[in-house]
Amino acid sequence: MPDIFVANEKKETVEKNIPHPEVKAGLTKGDTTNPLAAFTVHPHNLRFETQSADEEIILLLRQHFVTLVPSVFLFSLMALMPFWIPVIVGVFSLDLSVIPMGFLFVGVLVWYLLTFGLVLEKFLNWYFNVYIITTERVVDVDFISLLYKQVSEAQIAKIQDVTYTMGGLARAVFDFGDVMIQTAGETPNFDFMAVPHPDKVAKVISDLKLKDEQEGKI
Amino acid sequence: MGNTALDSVVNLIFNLQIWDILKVLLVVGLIVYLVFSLVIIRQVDLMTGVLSGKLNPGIRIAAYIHLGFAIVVLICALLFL
Repeated sequence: MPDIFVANEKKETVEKNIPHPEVKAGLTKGDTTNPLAAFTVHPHNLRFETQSADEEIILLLRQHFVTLVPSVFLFSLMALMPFWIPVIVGVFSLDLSVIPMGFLFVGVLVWYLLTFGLVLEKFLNWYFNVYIITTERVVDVDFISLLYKQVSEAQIAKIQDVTYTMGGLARAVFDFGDVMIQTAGETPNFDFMAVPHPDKVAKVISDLKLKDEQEGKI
Repeated sequence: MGNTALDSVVNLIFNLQIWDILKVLLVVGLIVYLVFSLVIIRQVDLMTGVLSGKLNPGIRIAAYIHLGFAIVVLICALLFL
């Protein structure tokens, strides 16, 4: 009498032999525990709004730190600006005595308030605009303006093509670039802009798709 | 009587100095900024709802510090200008 459960056991063995996509891409669990990291494998203590109970985040991506350099430079200049005022006054022989002291004091406070506001806004936009790759899907969280969010997602099975680009000196030196994901049907395409290690990201997505195909989900 | 009241308003307008106008503009601007800092708090609530991580309490605190700073600057503007 044939054993009807043999086929299932074989299938389980095959599934166990398939390495995790992130491992195949040369990434290991817990590569970083830094909550500010732009490239996190299996982030700890992190969940997103529509994450299901059995869904696991494989990669959490933000734009590379290098993309923040112009802003950091600008904010540093803004923070130091009040200290430069005496120098500017000296160079151009300006007379500050015509300005009431109250205005000078409040002016400096307003300047630092604006600087603080800009830094906070920039940080919020960088920190919360994330790209998430889970065991089930790809999610793109965008906060386009104040109070306006756009969350796009596509099942791994719907992904048709993954390409990445790394043009330019800074991108080659600091190893970051864009990952373009084409999806089937009406699902929107995804562009992961200026993410670290785009080659590894593309490989993880491709391997996830391959894994789904091997498991018969596609 | 009507003429006197009108005259005093006209006199007030013509006697306004540049610093008085700047003070009014600055205070109005700071009130608008206060509303903006409240919007940032709402924005942080929205963002932390989408992505929950261990840094979220710190970000909320930063947003409230920003609001507090905006209030302090508005009070300073009212007191010192």
